[in-house]
Amino acid sequence: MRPLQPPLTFTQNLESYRSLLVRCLKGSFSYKSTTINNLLTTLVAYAITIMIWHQVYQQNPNHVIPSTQMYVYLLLAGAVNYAMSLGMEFRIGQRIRTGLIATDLLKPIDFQMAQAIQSISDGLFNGALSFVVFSLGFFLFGTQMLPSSPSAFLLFLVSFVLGFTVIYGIGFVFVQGAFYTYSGYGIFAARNALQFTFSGFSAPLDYYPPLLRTITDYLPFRHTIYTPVAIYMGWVTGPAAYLLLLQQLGWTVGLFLVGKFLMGRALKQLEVQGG
Amino acid sequence: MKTLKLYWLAFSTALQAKFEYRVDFFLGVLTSCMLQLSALVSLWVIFTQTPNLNGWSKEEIILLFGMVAGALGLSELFFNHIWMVPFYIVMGELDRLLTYPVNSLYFLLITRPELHSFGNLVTGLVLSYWALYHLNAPLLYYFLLPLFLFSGCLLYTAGLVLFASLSFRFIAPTSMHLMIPHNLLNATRYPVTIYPAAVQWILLILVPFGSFHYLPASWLFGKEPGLGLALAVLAASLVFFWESGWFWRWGLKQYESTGS
Amino acid sequence: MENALHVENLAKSYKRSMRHPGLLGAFKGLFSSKTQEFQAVKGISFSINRGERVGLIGENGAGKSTTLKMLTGIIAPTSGKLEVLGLLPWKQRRELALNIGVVFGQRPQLLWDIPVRETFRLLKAMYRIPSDVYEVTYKEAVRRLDLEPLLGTPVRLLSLGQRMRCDLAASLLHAPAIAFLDEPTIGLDLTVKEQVREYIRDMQDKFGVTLLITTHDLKDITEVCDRLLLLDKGTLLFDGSLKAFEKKFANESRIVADLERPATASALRKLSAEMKKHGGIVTGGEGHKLIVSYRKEGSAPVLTQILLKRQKVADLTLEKTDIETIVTRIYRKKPGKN
Repeated sequence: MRPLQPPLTFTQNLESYRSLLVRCLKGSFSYKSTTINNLLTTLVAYAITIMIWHQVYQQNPNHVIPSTQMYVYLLLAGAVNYAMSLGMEFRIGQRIRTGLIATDLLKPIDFQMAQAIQSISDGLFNGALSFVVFSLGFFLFGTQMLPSSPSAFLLFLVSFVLGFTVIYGIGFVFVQGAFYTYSGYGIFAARNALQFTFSGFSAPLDYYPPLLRTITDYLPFRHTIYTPVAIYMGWVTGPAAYLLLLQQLGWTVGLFLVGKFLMGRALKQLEVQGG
Repeated sequence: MKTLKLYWLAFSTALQAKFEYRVDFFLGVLTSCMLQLSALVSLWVIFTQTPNLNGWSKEEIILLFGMVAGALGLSELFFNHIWMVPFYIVMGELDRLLTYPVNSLYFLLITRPELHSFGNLVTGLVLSYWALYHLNAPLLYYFLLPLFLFSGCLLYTAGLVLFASLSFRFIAPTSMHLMIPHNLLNATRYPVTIYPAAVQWILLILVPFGSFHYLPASWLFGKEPGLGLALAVLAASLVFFWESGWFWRWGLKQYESTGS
Repeated sequence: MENALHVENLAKSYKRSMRHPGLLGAFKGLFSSKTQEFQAVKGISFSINRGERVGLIGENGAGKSTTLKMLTGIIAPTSGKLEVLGLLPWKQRRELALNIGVVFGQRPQLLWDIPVRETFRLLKAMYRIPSDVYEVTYKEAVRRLDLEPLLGTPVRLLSLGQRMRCDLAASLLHAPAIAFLDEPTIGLDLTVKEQVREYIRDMQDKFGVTLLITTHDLKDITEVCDRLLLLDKGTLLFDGSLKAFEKKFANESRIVADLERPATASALRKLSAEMKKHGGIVTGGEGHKLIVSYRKEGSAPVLTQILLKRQKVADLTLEKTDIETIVTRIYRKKPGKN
């Protein structure tokens, strides 16, 4: 008889995460038309937002943020948002509904980690594509697209990664709702609506009316788009920027723990459908 | 007549199936309202920076928002099944539909109502009538509004059919590309005159989502086109809807030759 | 007799896109993809008369489903002639649909979330089934397939067997001129299979439904059909009655004997020589077991007599090869099988 297997070592774990990541990436690549559609659709949406703001600036060019900076902001926010589009709620919701979630939970790999890996794969893939959107800006706005300073760019990169971990944390907390509602789409749409409203995706938070601005301050969403982009633009520098990074880190850890706690509760009441 | 009865039976049966999932209903309505609200927030933010948008006031644009939401809601209620077509093509699930003695497009469209449509429909009606009230619109307009929403629904659905038919040729497992007409429709929440000429041309003539509310609204605000043009949109939407069937048949031909 | 369907040189080929291996390959696939043509059906011809009961068999990938899809009008043929009930299926699909019933064993048509009864109601309206016909077909289905307790249950709560029974009933409610049944008994247990076959036979008797059944369970065919089409890699290997099929392929029968004690080598040699004169061949002779095979019909009595005379026999059976054995043998013998 085969002896009982000891738990996986750290390196064995890493190995399985690595192979999972490669598999996820392959999956992303396999449907070219989807990818192109996705990109096209998103570009249409960004173009509309920019055109609307263009009208505003044409009517009155004097605003707190100069027009070109505004366009750069919107483009960058779009690119960052694209890199952070996760289909996690959708995917997991589907698996909960069909009962396939049971097979995920039986795998010798931590569910939350596996989801993180899939999200990293999404992020890498979408990130690469969002770079295309981003480079488009150089055609349109030339050197105006450049970061305000080299250090701002470095800080942006850090903030971008942290923004990604925040959106993952938010997504994972929301996913828990799918265990109760069996509706991945609904959860996804709800999260998306909040993300659109409070992240600074459609306009810099500086333009938000005071009431709305106060609400965004208490929510994690602004750290996914507004924070990294504002750092890139040089609107926030020095200690203030570091403070923002710290806040991002705080939200990441907090959301991760909340997600873990909720997951434990959700699993307790999970009844696998269709079984 | 018998055919209409059949479609009604198919629709009500499918709706009944949907009501099996109560949570979906409430969650769907909640999220569609949230999405509408988030769009309104963008509008609010824009109006903190400008008193009007190319001569259109906040209330006037809210009327456009409402009419888009209403048309969207109607389409989601009656014709939402079109969103499943790309999946069906990949999975070979259209076979069953094709063995039925009915018009495959119309039967497909009607058989999967989406419950979150009620959220969009209600938001749409509330916003539209709220705006009409605040704009002191003539009573006639209150009665015509549902007609305009209906023609918007037809135009938008026809656009979806057109794009969905493309997936027969370019097989993709998601309905992402249907987001293009969806985004175009959303673009028409703002008066089309703010867009560059080429975009205006697309939104008013090529895929005329922009017309069903923009033209009537322009008429209401005395901006230029008259009632006649507004009503012509109604007729045009019927024609456009009917024409989308051509694309569907073209797509089916691809399906027939490639199989699964 | 009236012609139900007629097929001449029917062929269908698909284009399949080929994927490059590995992650790099997946990336390449974003920009280019090669296609390869694949011939699923390579020019087959047959006709079926109204009221016939025909089984269509063949291994996975032999072209059964493709043929069925062409006959029902879901896909268009690449070349060849095709006529079903006087219609061109892929051009006149809707006219045809009124008069055919289709079961896709793997793809039930019942609406998932609502009771079976509702689906039936919808189908009645869709196929414009007159009440008097519906009365008969509905009652027949409910009685034969024991549907009464299932009618009020949402489909998702039914077991596979229950769902299949309902699906079959749904496809035959309008007493179609032709029923295309694609694996109607897949995944069912023996009693339900029996029930399903009985119902099909019954519908055939009552309404003269022409049957075309594809299946991997040959019992579906031996118990329901009288004619067989054997497809192999897109070509028609056999078309004829079950009897003719047996005659053509089952030309070998066997006598299997249990001897009281093993035969000696010399006795075996003598026995073989005598058997040979009467057309029997001793094929197995180890230990207690002895097998004599022969091809000529009616040789069994003589060969048995010889055997009983020469050896002390404890037990004896006569084996005729049944269709299942033949088909398995045909599949196995095929050259170039992967």
